[in-house]
This record gives sequence, C-alpha cells and structure tokens, in this order.
Amino acid sequence: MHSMENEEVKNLKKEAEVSKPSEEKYRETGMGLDKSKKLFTLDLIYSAILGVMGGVISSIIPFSLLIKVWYPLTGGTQLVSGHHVIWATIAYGLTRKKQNIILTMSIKGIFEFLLGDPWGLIIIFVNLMEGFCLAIGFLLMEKLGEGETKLGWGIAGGFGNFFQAPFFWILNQRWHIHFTLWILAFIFAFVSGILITGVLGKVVKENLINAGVPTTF
Amino acid sequence: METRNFYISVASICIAITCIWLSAYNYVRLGIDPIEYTQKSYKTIVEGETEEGEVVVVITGKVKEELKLTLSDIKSDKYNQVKDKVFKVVTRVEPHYYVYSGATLWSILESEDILESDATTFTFVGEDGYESPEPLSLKNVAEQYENDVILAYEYDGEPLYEDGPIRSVIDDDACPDEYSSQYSVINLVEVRIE
Repeated sequence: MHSMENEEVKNLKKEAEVSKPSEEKYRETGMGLDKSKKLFTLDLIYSAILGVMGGVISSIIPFSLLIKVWYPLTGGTQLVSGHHVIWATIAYGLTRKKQNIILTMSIKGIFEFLLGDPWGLIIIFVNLMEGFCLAIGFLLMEKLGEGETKLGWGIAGGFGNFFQAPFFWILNQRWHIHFTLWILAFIFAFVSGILITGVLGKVVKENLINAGVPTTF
Repeated sequence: METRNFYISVASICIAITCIWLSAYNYVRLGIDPIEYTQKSYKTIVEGETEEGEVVVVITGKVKEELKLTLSDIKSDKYNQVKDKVFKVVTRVEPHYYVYSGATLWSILESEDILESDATTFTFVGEDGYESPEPLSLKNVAEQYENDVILAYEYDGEPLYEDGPIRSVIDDDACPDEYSSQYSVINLVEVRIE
C-alpha cells in the first residue's frame, strides 16, 4: 500500500516536471516586434497581392486609350503611366517598409514578363528601377520632414514614375523627335507620378486603413 | 501652411502653362486640329471604324501634285496589295513577327506617276508628330523591296483600331542596318518625298 502511494507521488512529480515552462530562451519574431526591419508574413502577403494585381492590370488594361482619344501628341500617354507604380505606394503605405516597394515591383515585373510583355526581361528591370526610385523618393521626403504629407507622397511618386520615361525613349532611340515633345513627355511622367502614384496612392492607402485593413508598422 | 500651399499652387500653374504652351506649339507645328482629331479618334478607337471616303494619308514633298489617299483608295485593286504577309520587325530588344495586309508604297507612287525626277527618298510621318528617323531611298528600298514596304490597314485580319486607320510597315530585309520598328509608324498621315 505504501509503495503504491510512493509511485503515485513519483508520477505526479514527473507530470509536474513535464508541464513546467522550459528555461530555454526563444527569440521573439513576427509582427509587433519593435524596430524589426524584417518583413512580416502580412508584408509578404500585401506585396504578393498588390504585385499580382499591378502586373495583371498593367499588362491587360490599355489605360493609354484614355489619353489617345483626345490628345494626339506622342508621349501624351505618360499622363496615365503613374498607375504602374501605385501598387508599390499602397504596399509602402500599409507596411512602411521600403523593401516592400522593391518586393511589390519585382513581383509585378515578373508577372508582366510572364504575361508576355513585348519588352521581355527588360520589364522586370524597369519595374525594379521604378521601385528603387520610389523608395529613394520616400527616403528623401522623410529626410525633409514631408514623409506623411500629400506633397511628400506626391513628389516621391513623381520621382518613382519619372525615370522610366527617359529610359524607354532612350532605349527606343527617339533622338529625332522634336525636343519639345521630349520635354512634354517627361513633364507628363512626373505629373502622373505626383497625381496617380503619390496622391491617389495615399488616398487609397488611407481608405484601406479606415476600412480596417491591418497595417504592419 | 498658407504660404506653402501658395507655392504649390504657383508651381502647379507654371507646369500647366508650360504643358499648354508646348502642346499648342506642337499642334501648330504639326497642323493638328484638336477638335477634328478628337472626333476622328473617337470614331476609330471607340467605335472601331473609319469612313472609307475620308482622306487618311497624304503624299507630299517632291511630287507633281499632292496625293490624298482615302482608306478605300489604299484598299483598291489599282495598287499592289499584300495580303496577310509576315513582317519581321526588329526593335532594339529583339525581332518580332507580325501579320499585316496593305498596299505597297511603290505601287502607289508608280501607278499615280507623281514623283518628280529628282525625288530620291521618303519619310513616314505619324499623326502624333513622330517621324521615321531618317529618309529611306525610294530606289533601293521602296522599289527594290516593294512587297516589304507597305501602308498597312489590317493586322492579323483585323482593322488597326488605335494604331490606324493606316500605319507603315517595313520588313527588316528592306533596311537591315536600322531598327525597322522605328520606320513602322502608327497613325500614318503623311509620306514625305524628298
């Protein structure tokens, strides 16, 4: 009888040892970790969704027709080119991580490539260049204390959308086109970046946050 | 804040004035009537049709008389028609292969007998102000490669829609030292003979 009691006590002690919290230290990860520069799962999901949406829309929907109907000059379609970069702005707005801009644009570029973009692999490079310029734009605006204003977002968007225009025109060797058309195309690219990529991107981001989409910053 | 907004407004107005002025300059330089353009492009792009009797391309320069061509003229049997021919169009990136139908430029020039005796080259001009980079030889390109230099009205058996009603297309064989894509001008409105 006595030995049985002893065994029960032993078993209880063993169970207590098993359920006792481990002394081993685990590293805290994931969302909510202060000052972490690593991407959270939600960051990756946002980039994936927005990158795929951007890639499909840029490939399939000819937004340039909105301009071609009423504006005849070459380069006029740059007025709507900002929609190519708005996805990265929204991703940045929800995550506040510049890596997310690059990630979103690279996913978008890969998707455009897979959907048969006539530029081939170059389109991935162009998307990365746009993303890089946008990230630089946001960085500069933050340094100037305009990181959260419409002006700051507008100029960052303009910066992000601007450089693809001279890149494509130089690649197409359009040297023989009148210089005023070059100037117009570049102004249109910058203005489109300000209005569509920057300001509209900020408005969309704010509406998404107001609608309850969780942010990761 | 008010001063800042004032500066933003001034900058926006300056940019808008620059754009309007440069656009107006180019409208005048290229002889574009914006209202006529809008009506025409609405028909072509939105409704997808062009009136057959409407003048779409003009041949100018060193010609005995300017030749105005309608879409039905270009489609007519008096000119050599190239049907569903595969054109190799080379860009800086890679060659592309497209199927176009159209009338050959040389057959138009020859059958209308409009060339001046000292005419040697031709240049394509688009409605948006785009020009092919350099004049090409009438004899060595348009005549020698007659079926490779066309004024196209169909792509893959369909009208050209936003690229048309007419565009020039040159096969890479006709200008191997150049990017033939730069000579394939969309919305072609003029062939300038020099």
